[in-house]
Amino acid sequence: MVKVIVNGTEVEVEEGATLLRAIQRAGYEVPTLCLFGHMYREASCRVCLVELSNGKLVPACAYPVSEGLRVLTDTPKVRRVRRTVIELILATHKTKCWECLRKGGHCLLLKLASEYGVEGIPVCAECPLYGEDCLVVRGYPCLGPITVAGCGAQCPLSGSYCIGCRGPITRKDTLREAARFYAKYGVNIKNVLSLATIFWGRLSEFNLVRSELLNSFTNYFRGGGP
Amino acid sequence: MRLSEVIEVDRVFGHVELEVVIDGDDVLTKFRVVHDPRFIELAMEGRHYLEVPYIASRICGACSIAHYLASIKAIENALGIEVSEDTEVVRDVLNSLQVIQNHLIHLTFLALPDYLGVKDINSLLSKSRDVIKLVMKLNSLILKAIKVLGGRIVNPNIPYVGGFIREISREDLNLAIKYVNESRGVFSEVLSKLRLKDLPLLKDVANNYLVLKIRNHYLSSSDEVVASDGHVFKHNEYLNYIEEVSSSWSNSKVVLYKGKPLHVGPRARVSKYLGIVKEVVSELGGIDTNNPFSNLIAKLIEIKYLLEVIPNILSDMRISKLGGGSPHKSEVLNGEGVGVIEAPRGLLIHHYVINGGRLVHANIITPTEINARHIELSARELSINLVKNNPLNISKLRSMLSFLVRTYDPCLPCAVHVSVVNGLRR
Repeated sequence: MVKVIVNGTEVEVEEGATLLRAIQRAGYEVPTLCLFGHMYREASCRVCLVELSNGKLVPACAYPVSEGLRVLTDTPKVRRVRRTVIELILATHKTKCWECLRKGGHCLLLKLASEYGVEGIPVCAECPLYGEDCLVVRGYPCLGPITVAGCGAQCPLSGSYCIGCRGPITRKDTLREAARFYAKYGVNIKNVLSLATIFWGRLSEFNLVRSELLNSFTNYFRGGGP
Repeated sequence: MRLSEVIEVDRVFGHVELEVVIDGDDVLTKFRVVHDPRFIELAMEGRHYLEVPYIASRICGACSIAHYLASIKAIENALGIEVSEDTEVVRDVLNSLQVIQNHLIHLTFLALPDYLGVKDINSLLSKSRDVIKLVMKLNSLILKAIKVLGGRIVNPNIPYVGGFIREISREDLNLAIKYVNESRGVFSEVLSKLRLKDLPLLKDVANNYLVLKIRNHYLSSSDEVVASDGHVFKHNEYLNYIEEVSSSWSNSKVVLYKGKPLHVGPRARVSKYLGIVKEVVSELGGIDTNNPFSNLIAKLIEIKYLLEVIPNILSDMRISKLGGGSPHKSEVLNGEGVGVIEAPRGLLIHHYVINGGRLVHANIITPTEINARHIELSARELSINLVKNNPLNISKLRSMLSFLVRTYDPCLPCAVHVSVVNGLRR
């Protein structure tokens, strides 16, 4: 057995175990995406970074324990780096929450992003309406696909479409995918934009949102696409 | 004696100043709303009628349900959409729940320190922490009931033009009944712990009021308005009797009834329907409806009475489910309609003109606008009482006048929903 000190708490783990196991045994939580082994191979997502006593950051899920190892799981440095890591993951993440199987409260990325204050995931990730029940599929100009998540999708839950009170997502590829989604189910993008002006009409980002949506929407019908 | 004081009234929703100028026997009071204008009516114009209630509910975070329901009623009246009696009842209950919740918040955090004779909410906390805790518990119970019937605790979305956007089932109603029943017990506990000071004496110099005629139970909305002089008029004739005038010292307009100042709100409702609530009134030790300060007692009466009747109203409904399906699509796209509702602070009027499915004109009259001139009159009367035959005590004058303004529970964000720019309505 090896002694490890996690945030000042002493724990004993078997030799050869990972740091993550020691941290969990000590009763602390470190976010991981290990569940998605097929997407993030061992220690490549870097969400579980922790700080050693010498100031070095190591991934807890792959670092082997050694006698007397001291580790801190929640320091400002760790939080800052984790936030950047989540931003990087989101940048390469194909955000098509409306078609994702993990929508409706099962999205780990959304949980992480809201905990570390990273925006870029649409309301659809929280919305439990799926398939034919989705308001866009039913033909309503729901703003869910292009609105920042965080409200718990309360409006779609009670049957009315999202009116975008939490502000727009400004990532271009998400907007493009959203425009294609609207086009696929015959929702007129003009209705979507008209609804969006209630809360976003005066935002400086609104021009970007509008032009990106309009371009992608027309491209869909030309048979092209970005 | 000459004196000029500007009192920045704290513990109200928004920002307001009360200016008092005393020059010998002349006393002048000005209720100055210093909140910035918000142009809500302008934001509504040109919108599709189905989007309008969402914007209307954003006028005020405290009484969003009242604005939302008034907006829905105005659109339904404009387009001639009929809704069932059960729908109306559920809407009335939702409105009543919001009245309870608003009264609770106003009483506890804004007005109660005055009535208990403490300086502010912090001293209140150290003095009677258990009461505040109970009120917060009560508040969360009422909010849960609101969420069941309204979809969200602020800016609701289940009631909609033509009925309900999502099905309201018997289970939902039973859940709401359960929460209200639970909160009734908590409220009687709160009442048993409250020891209120005696109210300051003040005679209302212009006891004119307007209330909505009730349909079958307290706070149930109808389309007729009753005045204290006995006059009854339909809601769409309101422009014949009510005039909105601009005030040179305030960012909000001032409303007069037949050229006279008036008040609306809990005190007006209780004085009009004293017969309905008389049991609760006697339990709470009576009310002097001619004293502006008795607004708090009127609020307590309303909370207690509504908590008693809401479960009965809901369990009397013989329906299995209400509404549901898709958002309403109307055949008629032109019309003019008025929606009135008894908001927590009094009579609220939404007036829309719809042309081709788009809103072309909106006019909103909020309770605080109606009360504004009455607050000035009462403040004048109170200042005269305080300075006449008494040595001048400026700090007492200031605290009493703030107390008076707080009694009316003005909501300034509502009052400045539209502004007057150089005398033109923009």
